[in-house]
Amino acid sequence: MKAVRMNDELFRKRAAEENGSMISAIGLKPLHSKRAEASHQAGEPVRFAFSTLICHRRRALRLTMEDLAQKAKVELDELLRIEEDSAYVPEPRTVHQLASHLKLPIPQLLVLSGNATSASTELTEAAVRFAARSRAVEKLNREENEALNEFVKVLVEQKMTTKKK
Amino acid sequence: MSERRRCRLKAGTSDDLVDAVLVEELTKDDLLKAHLDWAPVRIEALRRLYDAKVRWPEHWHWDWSKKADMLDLLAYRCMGIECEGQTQGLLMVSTIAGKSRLVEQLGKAVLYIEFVESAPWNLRDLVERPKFLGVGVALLEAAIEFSTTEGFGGRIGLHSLPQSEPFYRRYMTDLGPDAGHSEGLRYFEMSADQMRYFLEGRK
Repeated sequence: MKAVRMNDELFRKRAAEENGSMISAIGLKPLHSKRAEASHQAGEPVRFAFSTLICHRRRALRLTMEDLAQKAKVELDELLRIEEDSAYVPEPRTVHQLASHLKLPIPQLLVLSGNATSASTELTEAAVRFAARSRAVEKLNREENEALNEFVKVLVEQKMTTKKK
Repeated sequence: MSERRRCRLKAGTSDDLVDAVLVEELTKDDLLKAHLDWAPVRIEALRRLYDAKVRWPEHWHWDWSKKADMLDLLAYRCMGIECEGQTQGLLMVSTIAGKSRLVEQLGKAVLYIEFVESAPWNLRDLVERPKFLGVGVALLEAAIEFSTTEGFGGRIGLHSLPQSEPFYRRYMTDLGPDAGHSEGLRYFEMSADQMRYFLEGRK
């Protein structure tokens, strides 16, 4: 399909209508700066909570890293970075895929991962609490299970508006 | 090398059309050059407006050389109109399809316009006699054509600065203030019918 270009007569008319008026438009912030801003807003404890959440949720669902990477169509090395490196900000597509396969709400996960911002402090506070209670162990103990379930409950129940990238 | 195509602008002081060139893919250097050309004229105009206690244009602080880093991302494309050796207008679009918010084309792909601006010497609020008219029209025409080429059906959308709203309201649907925009600007979108009206002059 090719767009029709206006004829000269119509262009003359349109140009006269514009008549040197302002035409400036400004978009949503550029992708890279929005992600950087969201990542900065998320802060270290929140991103640690995201890494831990992904790891614990995967283990709670009895999935190996390979299983989850395969099911969610995410590169294994990226999943490893997500779980091990809390400074890493995954692409939104990756977060969508993981959220779907781990049965977690997408908007909240986008905020935790540093891909979106939220005015809500409830999620941040819950994330910090979760991060504080989590410890790296091979098997989830009862306390970790409780922390995980409590955090997931907050995620699922929370109604929020996010600014996506 | 970037493709250059003939387009036209209207002379500011007569009814004549003037040959211009649409450059379809500008580089960072092109943006820096445009900024250097535009900045002195803009500063001089702002000085006059300040002395006359007239409100400054809302985009007075824009610096296209600072937007140049966006061109590192494949998601952005910058086009410009050149005439008489100078950049007369700039348009930056996102090549990642947005989704239409108009009922009649809800969810269909839309070309999103990230930034658009006319050179300061073409704006009636900054100079007494604009050098060229129709920069906005020519850039919208280019955006529609790019949207068509990209498979977005000619659909385009943008967030207008308040002072520019009358221009866009003439050809596009005003969908009101957008809570998702960092500055709460109004979102405008052009439907297929509006595109035909804009390009062909008939409803």
